[in-house]
Amino acid sequence: MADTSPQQDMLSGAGMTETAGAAAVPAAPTAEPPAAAISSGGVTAGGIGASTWVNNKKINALWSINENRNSWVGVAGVGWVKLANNSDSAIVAFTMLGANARQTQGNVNYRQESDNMIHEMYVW
Amino acid sequence: MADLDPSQLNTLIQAADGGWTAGQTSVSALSEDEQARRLGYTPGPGEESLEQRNQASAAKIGALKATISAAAAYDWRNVGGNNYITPIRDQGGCGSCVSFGSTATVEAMIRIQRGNPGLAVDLSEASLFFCIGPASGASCSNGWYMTPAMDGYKNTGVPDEACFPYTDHQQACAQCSNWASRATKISGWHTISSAADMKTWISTKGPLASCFTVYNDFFSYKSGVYKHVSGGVAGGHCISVIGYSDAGGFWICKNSWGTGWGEQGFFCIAYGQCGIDSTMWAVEGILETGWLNNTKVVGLWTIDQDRNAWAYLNGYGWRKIAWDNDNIFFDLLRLLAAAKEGGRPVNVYQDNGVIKQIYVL
Repeated sequence: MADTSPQQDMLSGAGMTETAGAAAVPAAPTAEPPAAAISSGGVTAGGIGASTWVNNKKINALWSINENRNSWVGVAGVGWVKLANNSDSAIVAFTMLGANARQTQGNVNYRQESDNMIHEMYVW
Repeated sequence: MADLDPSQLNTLIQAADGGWTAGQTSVSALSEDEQARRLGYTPGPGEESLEQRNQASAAKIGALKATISAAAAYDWRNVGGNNYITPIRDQGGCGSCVSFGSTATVEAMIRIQRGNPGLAVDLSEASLFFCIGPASGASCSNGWYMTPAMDGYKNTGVPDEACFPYTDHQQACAQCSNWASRATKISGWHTISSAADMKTWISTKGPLASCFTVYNDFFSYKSGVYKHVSGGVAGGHCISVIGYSDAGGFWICKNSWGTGWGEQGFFCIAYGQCGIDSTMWAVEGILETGWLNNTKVVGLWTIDQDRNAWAYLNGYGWRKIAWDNDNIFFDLLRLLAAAKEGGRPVNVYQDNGVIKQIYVL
């Protein structure tokens, strides 16, 4: 049975922006904070495969359900986006960062893959 | 005396198209033996000989002068008005240049990684040379080579100067008892042999360590862009390359002969000269151990990998969160997120760059 998804009418959708690549293993962050003094700039990512970076977004909703590894974030101007579900620790970490972004209304940059899930995320 | 007459030397320099000025320096009047002890690079296994370095540098002069995508000039002494280079040291009468050249590069990388040009950082060249060095043959009379110095920074770590102050004579390892908890390690190192990659690294990451052939006229260098003009080979020497200028066609280097030599201890050397740009050594990152107090969490990052999340600490940059097991990883991540949410100050203990303990205040 397919995973349940949050109600789409909770949020309005919009297109994606900026293209970059997937990270290698083990990965590390490469971006600097918007006001960093050295090597400042937008998100950069080298690597392989098709993927899309979506930058400077706000998280305005969260959703989860009693199903294995099923957690989503509502992205302002985009809609509901599912968090990568390949690992227990990864999806919990993603959920914590999503919750942090919802609380603080800080900017979020995330990498969405062809499965439409978020596979990498910065929260500022 | 190995001293070359400055006026005669300047005449020779002018005859060779000029570029630099010779004169009396803090080392020009020393005996040949004493001058040789201001050097200390003896290429080791897997490293090019001095002659091979000279040939490789000369062969890439076209690439060195080619237009590339990196900045046309860079100087880590003046990046937006900030100086990331630690003060000039003096290795004195001990062939420990490898320790000084590598340590100068690591110290600058610490300031750059922290984004803090005023950071008080002074690592112990003595610890590197007299404690780590002997296993691979380091001594004041024989010198050393770069591979074990870089490996020492990566595998063992080097404490602060106060743990084992440098003095310029052969001696046993006498570093402080708690040196391990005061040690700085690097995450890795590699060599760079492409001229374009050297400039790209310097202009985006930091200085590079390098070694070259010193000829006798170099001891009399006062200012300008050095090219070998006169005198035989004195030996091999290592320094830190802290910048370059494509317009002038030279590298900017930090030496370890005190401020009484060269341009207050620094010098410029022309591209392709003396093997300076045959191969250079890059320090990939700094791993520190100790408390980072009263900072703030300004960013969080995670990815679709098991227990892989990082926090950006204000003034320090990205640090990985300990991943020993699930509850350790999530407890630390949750506290860091809470600190970020509340804008609260944190005291963080890092072990080789990994966050292992946190107070949210």
